[in-house]
Formats: sequence, C-alpha cells, structure tokens
Amino acid sequence: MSVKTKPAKGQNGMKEIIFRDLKMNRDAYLLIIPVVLFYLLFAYKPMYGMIIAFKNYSPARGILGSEWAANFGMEHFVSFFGSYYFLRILRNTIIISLTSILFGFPAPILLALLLNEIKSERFKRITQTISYMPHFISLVVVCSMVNMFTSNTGFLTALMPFFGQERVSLLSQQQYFVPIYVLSGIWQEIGWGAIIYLAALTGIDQELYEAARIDGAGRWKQTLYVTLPGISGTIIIMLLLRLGSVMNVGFEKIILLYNPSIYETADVISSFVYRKGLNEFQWSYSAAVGLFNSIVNFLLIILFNRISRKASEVSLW
Amino acid sequence: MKFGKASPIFMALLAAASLTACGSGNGSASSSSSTGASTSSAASSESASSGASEEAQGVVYPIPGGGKLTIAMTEEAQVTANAATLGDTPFAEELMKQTGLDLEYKHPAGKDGMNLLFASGDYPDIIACYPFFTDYAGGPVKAIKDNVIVPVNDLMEYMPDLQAVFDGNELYRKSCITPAGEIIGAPMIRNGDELLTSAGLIIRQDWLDDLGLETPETPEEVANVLREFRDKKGATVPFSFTLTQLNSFGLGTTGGSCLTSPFGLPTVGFYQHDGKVYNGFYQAEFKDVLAWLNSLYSEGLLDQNFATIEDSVQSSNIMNGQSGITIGRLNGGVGGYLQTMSEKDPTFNVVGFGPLVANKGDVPLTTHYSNPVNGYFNVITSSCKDQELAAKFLNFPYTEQGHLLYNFGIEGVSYTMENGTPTYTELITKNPDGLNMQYALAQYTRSWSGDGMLQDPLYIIQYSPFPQQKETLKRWTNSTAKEYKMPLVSVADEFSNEYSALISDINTYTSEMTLRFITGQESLDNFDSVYMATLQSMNIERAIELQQMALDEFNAR
Repeated sequence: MSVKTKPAKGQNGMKEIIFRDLKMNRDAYLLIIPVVLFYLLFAYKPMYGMIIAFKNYSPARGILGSEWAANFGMEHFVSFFGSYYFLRILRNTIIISLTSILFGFPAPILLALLLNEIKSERFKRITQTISYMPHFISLVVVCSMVNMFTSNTGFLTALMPFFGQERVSLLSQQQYFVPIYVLSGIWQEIGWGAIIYLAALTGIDQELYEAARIDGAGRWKQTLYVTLPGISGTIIIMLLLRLGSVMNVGFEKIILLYNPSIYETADVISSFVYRKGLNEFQWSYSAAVGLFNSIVNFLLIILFNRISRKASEVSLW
Repeated sequence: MKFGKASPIFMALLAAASLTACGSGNGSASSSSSTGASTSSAASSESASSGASEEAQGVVYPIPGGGKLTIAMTEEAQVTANAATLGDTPFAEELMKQTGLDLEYKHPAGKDGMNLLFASGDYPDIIACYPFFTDYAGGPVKAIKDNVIVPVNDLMEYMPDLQAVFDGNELYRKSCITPAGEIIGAPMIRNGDELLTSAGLIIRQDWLDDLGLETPETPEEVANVLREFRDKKGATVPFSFTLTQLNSFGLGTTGGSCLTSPFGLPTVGFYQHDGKVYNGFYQAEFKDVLAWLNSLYSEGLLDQNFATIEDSVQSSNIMNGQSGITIGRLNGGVGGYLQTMSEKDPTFNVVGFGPLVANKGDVPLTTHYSNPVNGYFNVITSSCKDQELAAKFLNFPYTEQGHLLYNFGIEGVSYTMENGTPTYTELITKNPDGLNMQYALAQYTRSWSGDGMLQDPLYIIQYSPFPQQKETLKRWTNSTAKEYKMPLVSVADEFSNEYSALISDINTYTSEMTLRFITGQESLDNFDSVYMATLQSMNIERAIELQQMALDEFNAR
C-alpha cells in the first residue's frame, strides 16, 4: 500500500493536516491499530509495574499500597550489587550467551548454505523438515530427554570414554553445563533459524551466479563472492537483534537442566530472579534485578547498532 | 514474565468466587454487629466488631444460615487421583452437611502453583494445609506483613474449641503465635509421639535374609551391605535417593536426620541443645558426614544421578531391584512399596532401619522428627470478606464431631465404633476398588494430610497395616531427637529482612557445596579453608544469633 501525501498549505493548522492525513490514509491507520495496542498493553503498560523495583512490594497490598524501599528506593539494587552471587550470575549469563551466539548464530547460516547446494528437491525438503522438527517439541520434553541422555547410563555419556573421560552424570559436572546447553540449543533451533536465510537466498539474482560461472568461479567461489554478500544484510540484522539480548538467557531451559551442584556455571540472572521472586517471594528484589538486566540490554543494542552503522552502513534505525 | 499472562483470568475467577461467597454469607455478620458493644478486644479489625455473648460459649454446627467459602490447597495426588477436587469426595460432602457450608476447593499444582497464587495478590477465603514456616519465605511473620494472612486474635471467640486446645497445651499455644503475639491460624497438630517420625532409611529385608546379613547399624556396615547387594544381587544403584529425600530426611534440613548421628551431628539445619542454637552446616562434624557420603559416591554405591532424578525413578529403583537401600516415608515408602509389590513379587520385602549410629547398640542422636505443631496451617486470607464464618469453619475440626470426621471419616461407612475406639472399616483397609490405603483414606478423611486439625495417634496405628511398618516405626523412633529439636520459632519482624537476606545466600551456598563435596567436585581438603570460611564471611554467625534470639523469645512466650 502506498501512503499518500499532499503538500499542506501554510495557512492550514496542524490539526487540519493531521485530520486530513487520517482521512486519506484511513486503511493504513486501521491496520496499525492492533500493533499499537499490542505494544501499549504488553510493552508500555508493564513498565508501570517496574515501580515495584523501588518498593517493598506485596501483591496483597498492590503497587500503590506497598511502601517505598529504603535508601531512596534503591535498597534492592544496592543489595543485589553487594550480593555474594552478583559477579557469578553476571559472568555465567555473559558466558552462556556469548557462547550461544558464537556457536549458535553461524549454525543456521551454514545449514542454509548447505541446503542451498543440494540438487535433489525431494532430499532437500525432507532434510529441512527433519531439521526444524525439534523446534516444535516442548522445552520440558527436550530437557527431560537431555537429562536422560546425560545421566551416567545415558547414550551421550556412553560416548565420553572415546574422549578419554569418565562415565559420570554429565549434568552433575559443572564443566559440561555450557556445552550441553549450547549444543542442545543448536540442535533445537538450527532448522528453524535456517528458514529466514533460505528465504534470503531465494532473493539473490540468478544472473549473478551465471556471470560468476562465466568468469570461471567454482561452487566455493560462488558461495564466497555471490551467496554470502547476497545475504549479508539479513545476517547483520539478525546478529544485531541477537546481540541486543545478550543479557537475556531464558530461565526456562536453565531451571529445567540445572541442579545446585552446578550453580557455579549454570546459575544466570534470570534463574536467580525466578528463585528470588517466585520461590522466596522477594518480588521487589527480583524486579530490581530484572530492571538492571533490561537496562544493560538496552545500552548494548544502542552500542552495537552504532558500531554496525559506522562499519557496514546496515543498522536497525 | 510468562506466567503473568494467565493470571488476570485467574484473578477474575477468584474475585468472582469470593464476591459470591460474601453475598451469601453476610447475613449472620450484619445481624450480630448491633450487639458488638460488649467486646473488649483492644485492636479489633473492621470485620470482627461483632461478639454476641451467646455465640462465645460455643459455635453451633451446622452453622445457622450457612454460607460459602473458597479454599485453596496444594493439589494432593491422593485426592485428585479419584476425585476432581477435594470438594467432590465423600469426605467433603459430609463436611458440608455437618457444617452447613458450601465449600469450593481449588488445587494449585505443587509449590510453584502455590507460589503463583501468592504472587497473584488475590486469594480465596482460606488457604489450607500450607507449611507457612518452611515454604513461605520469611515464614508466617512475613505472610502477615505481606497482608496474605489475617491473624485470628480477634476471631478467637468464634473458635472456642481451638481456644480450648491452646488452653490445654502450652507448647501448642506457643507454637501458633508470632513474636508480636498474633495467632497465625488453625494448626495441624500431631497429637501423639507416634506421629512425629515418619521417614528414614529403608532396606530390602529379603536380600538381607538371602545373603545372611544382619541389619546394618553403622556407616561401615551400610557400606559393606551395599557392596554385597551390588556384587551378589546385581544392584546397579545400590543406594538410591532423590535430592529432596537426602536433604529433608537424610541430612535433615527440615528436622532430624537418619544419616548424621554416627558423626556426632544432630542435623544440618538449625538445632538447639540446652537452649543454645547451632547450625549443622557450620559444624566441624559435617565434614565427616560428607566424607562418608563422598566415599560411597566415588565407589559407585550411591546413585550417581541423585542430584537430578525424580521420586518416580527412585521408587522404581527400589521396587525393580536396582537398589537395596533408599530413604523414604513410613507409609508412602515402606507401606507403598510393600502394597505395590505384594502381587508382582511375593518375596519382595522392605523394612525401615537406622538411624545410623557410630557403634553398634548406641542410641542414635537423632531421627526424622517433627514438632507436634509442624508448621502447617489453615489461615484466613486478607481477601476473605466474612472472616467470622471462616473462623467458625476453621474451628470445626477441633470439635469432637469434627475430630471424628477429620480423622476417621463417616461413621458406619469408613469407620465403626468398637469398644469406644473408632476403627477403620474394610472400605479403608481392604478397599473393594483396589485403592491402596492412603488413597482410600484420602476419599473419606484428612488424617493423612496437613489439614488444620488434631491428628489422632489411633490413625497411624491402624494406618500401618503391615507388620514391617510397625517394626519400622519402632526402629525410627528410637533416638534422642527431642533434645535437639528446634521448636517452631519465628525471627521477629524487625530482623526478618536482614535474616531472609542472610539465610537465602547461605541456603544456596550450603546446598550447592553439599552436593559438590559429595560428588567430589570440591575436595574435602577445602572444607575448612574455603567452605567454612565462606560461610563465616556470609555472616552465618549473625543468622545463628538471630535464631538464638528467636528461640529465647519463644521460650519466654
């Protein structure tokens, strides 16, 4: 749909311009209403609730009825930064997230490139369907499968002697948590994540490949000089979006996989928030930790966007 | 947070339910408020201003005028296996008939479900069978401060039978109030010594007999028996338990323990001796407990997956011959295994043993041991509009009529009076539908649960139909646990923030390090230099001091 514009005359007031615009682009405005409502209800309205980070919130008293926290409302932030576990959960969050990006981000791109090279349509489609199946398995099921595979009699554990390791329950060994988390994440999301790159691949002009072939480029060179540049815009946008949530390691998978003996490498900010908030009823404290997390994320995405704009002229805004 | 999306609907439902509850129940409250001038209670709350003198003498059941109450309690599999909610059981039908009330039950699933209920801020009239002392972080003091619980001090005139229980037993009374003197609600009271111990070590007696072994008593003997089981009985996981079983019963974070006595440690949690408070995690003896468990773990005798397995795996381990020793309950464990296996394998035989001792023949320091008032309460919430009616309902189990219904069910159906002793009928003991005893009891009584009532010792004596259970109870109760048990204390309000901040970090650290020491990820050489030093830097001594103040305050009540 093209948005119509009409040059406004100098005499017309702002009101009239807006009114005319509303009238002329009625369809466009109607279409955007649900989106605006969605953000108002689910992104802006909950921000009001962030007040509880500065209060001693109790659900029965309500947000307004709860008293303000000590230290000008900063009590919970002070106690979080001073907490014995602050550095550990910050470190774990960053390690798990960066490892996930480092190994998990390129994986779907590689899969998409490989699928793109497959000649047989049938084989390609079957492979693709199988590869994104794990995405549709409930996380709880995935995690209990991982739990079984990595118990001391599990089949993954059975492979450990080939690497010169003992056969022990892998999820009781802190050094294995991050690999298990990242690898199971790749297994789950690789096929689903490849879809967007496959879509981008179809957008590449076939004439470019022809030209490259005429110039004597083999498949490898074609991939390197035609395919990759062709989808680089998509890759950068996806990377930026991913980097914006560096501090977001979802608590669901963590709490389904961890146990106290591997808190050292497995406990992250979100699982800490979950335990504090829902198990220990320290709602305000966990809100403060969550707010801290969001602010860091916000700053990171601004930073990465700026870097990207300078370096490659692709950016989110 | 993802949970948030579902809660508005839930809240709306709850709100609607409590509104209707008040509509029908308001009659009696407003009619009696005109005579409220005679009460002399100092701090009367807005809804408890009534006090007709004839009502103070005793509450009449069925309650004239009736009314409706909503009640939430954690889902109990024993009930919901055979009924949609507790309200659909024969027990509740009889309860509604006898009290004249319309009761609506909701069952949030597990601890997480209850946590979500608390976080929703909108509550039913009554929260029942909830262990406020252990599961509500900060305990009842915090729950009152959070405006979840309404203390019943001003409602005691509607609870004359509970008042009589308090008047008759000083310990019961002291255990039900906060440092500020607020009465928390209607307690679950285990009214007899037989009821205080219900968990411990369980062993395959048939294996012992086959191999001609004696019941092990010391840690060394246990290790030997485990080796025999592994070598001669093919037990792949000779000693199996879940993390919860290890913590709650084996080491005793919530009370006495079955494993720590030989090492001179009563329990890992807080305990007291002659009025002085200690924390087992911060005692040198704890190192020896860990060393023993670590030696079992590294020898492969102890379940290598104990940190991650569920109850279902552990119980199938013992019943399928993978394990020879486990930690479990008297009824759910010993009784449950025997009943389940009685048809599949008649030779299968388990019995409880321990608590372990240092030298054969010693009396164990400690065993799994709960306080008579064990921390489970039925409470009135801040959302309850007709608190007088709720109070009368909470009073019912302490009346003679209610006592029989709660403990034994319906006369002529689930029990009969024989020589003045209520005795379960075959409907309970040999259920025609093949329900095991706990599930049959769950349809007709509350004696097996954590409901606010006086639990009758006659229940447990009849409940343990297998002779192995009687033997088990005899062995498990032989200890000096009472001398070390911490009563149901509360840290005073002014220290509760400080205490919960301290204990939250300490709990995380001790649970983590306990596991790491047992699995050998952390060398026991670091016990003093790292572990104890860290606990000290986390200010565990201040936490102990606060518990000491709480104990002193409790003793002075």
